[in-house]
Amino acid sequence: MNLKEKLVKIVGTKRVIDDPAKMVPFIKGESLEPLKMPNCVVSVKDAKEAAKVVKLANKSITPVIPSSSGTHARSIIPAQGGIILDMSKMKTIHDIDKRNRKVRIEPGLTWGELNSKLKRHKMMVYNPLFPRSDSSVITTLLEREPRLNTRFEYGEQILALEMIWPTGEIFKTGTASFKKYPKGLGSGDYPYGPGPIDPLRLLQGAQGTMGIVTWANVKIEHKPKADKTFCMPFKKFDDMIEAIFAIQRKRIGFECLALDNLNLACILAKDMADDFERLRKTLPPWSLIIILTGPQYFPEEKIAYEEEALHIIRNTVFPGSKVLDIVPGFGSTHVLPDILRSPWPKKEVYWKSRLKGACQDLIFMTIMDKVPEFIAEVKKVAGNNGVDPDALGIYIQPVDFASSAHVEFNFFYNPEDAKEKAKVANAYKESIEAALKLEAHFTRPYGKVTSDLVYERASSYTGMLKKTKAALDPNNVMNPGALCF
Amino acid sequence: MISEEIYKELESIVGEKWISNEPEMLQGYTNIDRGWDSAEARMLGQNPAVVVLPANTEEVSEVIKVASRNNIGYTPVSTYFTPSAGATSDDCLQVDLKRLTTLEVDARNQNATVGSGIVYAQLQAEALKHGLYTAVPGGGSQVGVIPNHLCWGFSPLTYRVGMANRRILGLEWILPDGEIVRLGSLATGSNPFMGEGIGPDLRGLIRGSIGWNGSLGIVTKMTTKLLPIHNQKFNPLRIMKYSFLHFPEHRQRWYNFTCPSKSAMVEFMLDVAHAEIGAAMTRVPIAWRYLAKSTSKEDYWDKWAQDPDQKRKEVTETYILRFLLIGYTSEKQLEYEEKVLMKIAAKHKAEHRRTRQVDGSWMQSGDSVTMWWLTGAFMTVTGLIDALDNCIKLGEEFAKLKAQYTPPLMEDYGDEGWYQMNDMGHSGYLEFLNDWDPLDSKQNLEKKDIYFQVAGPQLLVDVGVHHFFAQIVSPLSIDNPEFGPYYGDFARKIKDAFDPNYLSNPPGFLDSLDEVIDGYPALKKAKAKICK
Repeated sequence: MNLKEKLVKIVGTKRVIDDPAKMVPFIKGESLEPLKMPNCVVSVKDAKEAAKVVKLANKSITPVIPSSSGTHARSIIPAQGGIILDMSKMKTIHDIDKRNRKVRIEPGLTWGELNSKLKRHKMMVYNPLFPRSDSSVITTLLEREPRLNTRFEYGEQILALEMIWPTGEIFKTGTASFKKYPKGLGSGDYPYGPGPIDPLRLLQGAQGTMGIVTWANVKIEHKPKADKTFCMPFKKFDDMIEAIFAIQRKRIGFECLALDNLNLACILAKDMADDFERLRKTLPPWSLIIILTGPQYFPEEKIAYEEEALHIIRNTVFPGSKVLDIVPGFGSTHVLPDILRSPWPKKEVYWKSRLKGACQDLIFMTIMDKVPEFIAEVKKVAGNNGVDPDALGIYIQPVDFASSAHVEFNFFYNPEDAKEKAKVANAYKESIEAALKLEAHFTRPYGKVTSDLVYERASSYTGMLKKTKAALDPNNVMNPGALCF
Repeated sequence: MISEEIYKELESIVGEKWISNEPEMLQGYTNIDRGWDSAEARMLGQNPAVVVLPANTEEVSEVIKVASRNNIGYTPVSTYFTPSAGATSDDCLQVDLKRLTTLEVDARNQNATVGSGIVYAQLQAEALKHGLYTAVPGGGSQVGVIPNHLCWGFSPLTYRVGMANRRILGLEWILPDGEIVRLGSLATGSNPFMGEGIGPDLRGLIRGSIGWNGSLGIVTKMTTKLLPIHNQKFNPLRIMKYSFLHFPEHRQRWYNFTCPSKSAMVEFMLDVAHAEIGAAMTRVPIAWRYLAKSTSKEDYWDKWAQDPDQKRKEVTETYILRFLLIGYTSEKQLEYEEKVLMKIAAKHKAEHRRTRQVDGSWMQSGDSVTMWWLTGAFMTVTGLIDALDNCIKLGEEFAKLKAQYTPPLMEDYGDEGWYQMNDMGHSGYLEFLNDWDPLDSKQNLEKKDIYFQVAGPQLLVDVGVHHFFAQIVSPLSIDNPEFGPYYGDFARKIKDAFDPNYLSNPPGFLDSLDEVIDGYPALKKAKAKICK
């Protein structure tokens, strides 16, 4: 039997696709790198099927590239061909446990689907900035996309999970690790272990190179009973830093983010043709948005003490700015919590594609005080490569009470314009090099250009990763060619 | 045997003053009868062959390279809290890390970098000066910050500050062959502000549910996240064992309640977590109250041993909860949270009790020494972090098992363990505490060992719970197939890859307890009888 016949034996004829035209949707996303075809796409319905595919891949030394919801913001690049393991049919919500505030979900479940289900229970998962409606919740969290909620205590959102090791064994982690789970006194609320290694950490940011998650317990939280949202305008990001530190150190608000006027206009413009330019011109160069939330008991009283503290900080730390309950040019801030706590609407063009049709993100972590240096440097590099520095979108996400910052530059481009794509590709590559010199920490090195540049600078870490990968994936079947493997 | 030649080579790295093989000195590092009574220490404990005290990461690396080249087993130690931090193999090189005393607080980015010789009392004292804090673990403020982050790291404060492994940022790690690797943001930079890896997070190799207890190299420097708190002073009062900190009461307060029933107590805790208030909450075992009120061991026993029937009633029918509220943002936050707490208390008919606004254990100092005070030996047989309801049920199961082993375990009148809320109420926590007399008869110590190494772990397998101390005190052969499954086999792949000659703290906890049971007839027999 050839590989296809063996795969058909595992999942049936209909769930093995090898027609190139039909495989394109499984890999295509926005990427400056050229697409590569897998040998086939195999859709699995559960962990047992997925494990059988991985074991077969080990026998035949065939790459396996896991794909969760089937939507890929950045394209799937099967660098060495192989099998795309499609889990988009695995959408089960096994259990909504309101008492312990968690939900057990499969990797094909999307933000849109989970959000609508949880709304009925008045619960939510704290989300990053506009996950796509059809992107996988589990993948988003595994990839450590930063939450808008900056509070440390609401982090570590993935609890115990089920996974498949690169050698094909099904394994459960944390307090779900009992063979007979969910029977027994462990209900999967603790993520770590079992034992002295932590599969969760190894899976995080691994882009499918260290194993496959087949379900995970994920933290859910109560939807706040009340909210009050403020927008604080600033001329420069530099002026915003002390405000962010002061607000975060006082633990004021839940969601907090900083956007330049280009990105905020892309998000809030009702219509790009008629409204975008007006809005961009009206918005302040930088907006710091913060949502104060009121929980179940006396919600308004909680908001009141936080608002009072916010005004004291404004008077003492950033008297030159204002604390507004409107977004200039847009209107009241009261609609923002609903907008920011939802995935981007499925029917609308994704916010990063609204301006030119596509976007290349440059993302990394740093400390708040270094952000202005990066802004200046990346804008300079963009300009040197013929990319208008004022056409870069910038989004800064304070993380864990602003003890670090997620920095995101959005290079917008027309995917049909080859010259513009080339300019952006050059600017992007040189920006990575410049950022690395300034000690940017690339926790999510997407694509070959980024991963090659980043791993080259981390020789001992990279050596350690390779040794770990060899120990756990001796045949290097899990997404080879991605990262440094 | 560590040869004279190797000794000289080690001496050339650390200097003459910082190495010894003098018997008197080695006796000071003994793992035999040194105060922690356990089968592991009794069966495997030894004196080391040589002790070295390197001064920094580079020296540690050089020392380990020498050991690795010459196939010498070595055991790292910082503050000596467990038997694993002592020699458990022949010709062991003891690497004492107490000279690594870096302590730098980066207040702006809310972290601190510590060396292996730094203990929590030092870290917390520095952090509080900057309006920041960490969680001093149940093990006490005298324990090392790095090993505690790597091995467990739990306290009532983890309700809001999370398990210690979540707070690990950049670090320097000497691999078992002596190579230095830097994790997190130190992989490509000089600022240790972040722990996440470039892609996969290699912190997953050094700390899972628990850590390796020195069996996968040595972390010499670690940056740990600190969390913001108010900037008010905690005034120290009294000295020695009577010392405590007085809370700034307008920003931080205890609240004690007596609940009418166990179910009321559980619902009270869950409601507070759902209300998203509080800095910590825990049940107060009755024995702790006697301990707190006693002036000596004798005084404790005078009180605790009286009227057993009344004690049993008191222990099993009294439900005391202790909450800590902190006004992180302002005084008004404390007022708000107090109002919410009182409303929830009224709903559950919990009675508010008076309490002194002082602390001797949670914020900075640690009172864990008193846990040994009662009988001279103490050990937790299990700890479970999971749904609070599961913690309660596991406590009930262990109380039944413990009754079969009491005596020699200390009579605690049916106490069902210490439990509390964790991770903003996403999980609860149970720790089941045990005391015994380490000078008891051989027969009684065997019975106690069977409880710890066989019967307790088998109970965990029976009820489907696998957690922390069980992984350290019970042999892998009991629970390895049941959890994961075969969790130990995957850990061993990592051990084999990075320490193929098993030199880092031999035999290492993957194997040590199986070795103990194989060589201990009473345990071997009990295992054959009890384990399925």
